[in-house]
Formats: sequence, structure tokens, C-alpha cells
Amino acid sequence: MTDYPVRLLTKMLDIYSPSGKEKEISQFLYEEMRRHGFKVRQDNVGNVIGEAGRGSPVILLCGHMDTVTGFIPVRIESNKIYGRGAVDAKASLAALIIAASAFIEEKTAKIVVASVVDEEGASKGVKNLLKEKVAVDYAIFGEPSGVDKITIGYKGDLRIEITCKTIGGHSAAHWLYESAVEKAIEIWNEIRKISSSATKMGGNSGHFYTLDSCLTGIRGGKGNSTVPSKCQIILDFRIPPNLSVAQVINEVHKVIEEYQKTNPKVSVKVKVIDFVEPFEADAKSPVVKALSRSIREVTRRTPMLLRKTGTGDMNIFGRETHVPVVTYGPGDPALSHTANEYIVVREYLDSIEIYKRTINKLIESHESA
Amino acid sequence: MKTAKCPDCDSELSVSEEVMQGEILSCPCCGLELEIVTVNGGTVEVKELVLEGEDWGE
Repeated sequence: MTDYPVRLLTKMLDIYSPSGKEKEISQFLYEEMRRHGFKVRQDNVGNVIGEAGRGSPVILLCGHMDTVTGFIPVRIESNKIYGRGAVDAKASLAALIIAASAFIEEKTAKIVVASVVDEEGASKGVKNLLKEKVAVDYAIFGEPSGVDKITIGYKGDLRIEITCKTIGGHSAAHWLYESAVEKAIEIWNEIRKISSSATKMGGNSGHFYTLDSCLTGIRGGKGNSTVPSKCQIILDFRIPPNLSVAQVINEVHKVIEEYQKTNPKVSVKVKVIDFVEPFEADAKSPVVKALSRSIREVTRRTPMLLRKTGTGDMNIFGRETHVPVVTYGPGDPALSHTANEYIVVREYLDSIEIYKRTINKLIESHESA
Repeated sequence: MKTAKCPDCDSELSVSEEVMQGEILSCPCCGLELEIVTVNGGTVEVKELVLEGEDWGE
């Protein structure tokens, strides 16, 4: 009974599939789902979508096929399966496919398994699902929360590039000029103060409810005898659910306007590189309830609801569709993106049973509602 | 003894007289873990125990 799940996952891990190179794994999963009896199609960005059963409710199970870069040779050792994506998030995707395959003949629900591309990139896969307006009643995203934990919230993310320009010159007479590198750091020191004031506004403690910012890149100066005239800094903001991306951008502009009052010769330009809005799911939704009960039944432990400081495809999908949604999957998230990525076999197998029971409970509660 | 009602299976639970807000108990019928929300005279209000935490990732 445990052979097939292990074989499926090890095969998926053997196929190296960093973002943008999901063709081989998508072909494999297409065939695998077709063999199980799913009605399978591939959309125009490469997502593989399999449908089991028919009728209502429609339950979306969404997992990503891509991983970060860096192949890890696949091996099984001490009941752990090692490989790139073992945690993030091929174990979740394999478990979702196996769980859904139990509902091929279901007549009172349709289970849609979406194996999406590019979650580790720009989320092209989930954005295309939204574009296609796949109508669903409930959604579960397969990402590592841990077998007895459920992710109900993610912070938003905003990455901006700030370019500072000054008039540079010979560093032997640096007092005649303004260093763009020094000015950029001064601006960063002003911008980071937004975080502490925004946190006070929110009134909640903990990193999830805090606006965090981090200087993740700096480019400027050549280290020769020249006062640099150009510097670019990259800032990464992690946005709590009580704030929006627009509010943070507005605060950044205010800080820069204020800074330029005392530094009129410094040119400052802000460019938004990328953003994802924050999202917090309803902790009392039917899908959280069904998943919580299933976790209790299978693991005999009390489930924990997690709010994560990262972001996931649930942010984009949950905000747009407003359907009850949750993120759940086996694996220790701390192992994601590391060279030591592994999944404990027992946890992976338990998650298959938990997904199955969750689907059954959603069908039952939908019928009685 | 005080009484409470399980929010899941509707069973009536007997709760100790000394029960305090925040205490944890299990429903003897369905096994659901419950948290004491309020103690008002002989009536005790309970809710499903929910643990909450923070993590990072994705």
C-alpha cells in the first residue's frame, strides 16, 4: 500500500524541474493522472489539470511542479526520502494526486488537481488558473506546513529598487561632492523607520503582523578614487494583512519627499520590481474545519493554525476568488530550499490520508448545508 | 458538577466545580479537545481548542 506513493514521489524527485523547466515533469504527471482515470488537460502556460468525479462541490487541490534550482540526488535513508522538492513541494503534490485518485468515480463532487508551474518564480501557473476562471467551491494549496499544521495566512511582499544619483568627483576632494552610495544608505535608514511606525498602527505583536523591511541588494561605486554618482538599492518589504502594497509604496514616497527637502541635489527614483498582496484565510471556514478534524483523526494531535511571514500562491488565489482556502502539506518548512531537503515517509503517507478525509468531510458538509 | 456542551457532537459534558477559564479538556464522546471559554454559575462555555503559531517559508 505504501509502495506506490513512495515510487511516485521518488520518480517526481528524479525529474529535475526548476521554474521554467517543468516540461518533463508535466508530461510525466499528465500520463500518471491519465493512467489513474483523471480527465487531464494542459493549459497554455504548462499547468497540468486533472479532474476526478463530477458534480458539486468543486474542490481545487493545487500544488506546484517547479522547485528552486540545485538538484539533490534522490535517496531513501532511515525512512526519509531526500531530493530537491521533497518538502517544497513535490510530496504535497504527489499526496494531492493520490488522494484525489480515490474520487475518480465520485458522483457528488468534482476534484480538480492543478499541478502548476512557476510558483518559485512569478506564479505564472496560478495566475493562469485565475485567468481561466476555474470555478471552485473550496481550495487547498499543497505546501509544507507540517503534517499537523495548517497555514491560514501569508504576508505580502513588495520589492522595490531605488536609484540615487548625485554629482560625483575626485574622492581626494570628497567634501565638494555627494556620494550616491552614502545617500542611498541614508534613505534606507529613513525608510526602515516606516516599519516601526506601521507596527504601532497595527497593534498586534509577532512578525506576522509587523511590516518588515530588508536591504537585499546594493550596487554603486567602483572603489577607485571617485565619489560615486549612482547607487541602486533593492528593498524587500514583508507586508502584514492590515496593510496593502499601495499603502507601503505611498509611505516610501513620503519618506523620499521629506528626505529631498534637505537633500535637493539628490535625484531619487523608485521602481516597483514585484509585489504580492498579503492574505489571511478565514480560520473558521469549512475547509479549515474539515482539515483540522482530519489531522486530529489521523495524527491524534491538536492541529496548529500557522500564519507565515513568507508568501504563497494562496495569496493570489484567495484574494481574487474569496472561496474558502487553506494551505496544507507534509514536511518541515525549514528544510525548503536547503541542500538537505527530505520528507519523512510516515508524514507523507499520513498527509495522503488527511487529504482524503478532508475531501470526504467537505463533500459531506456541502451536502448537509 | 458544572455542565458544558460539546460544539461538535452536542454531548453534554460534566465539568469539575473547580474548572477555570483557559483549561483544556476532551469530549468523552467524540474526543475533541476543548478549551474553557467562560464559567458562568453552573454553565461552562467551551470551544474547540485551536493552537496558533507563526512560521516562515514559501
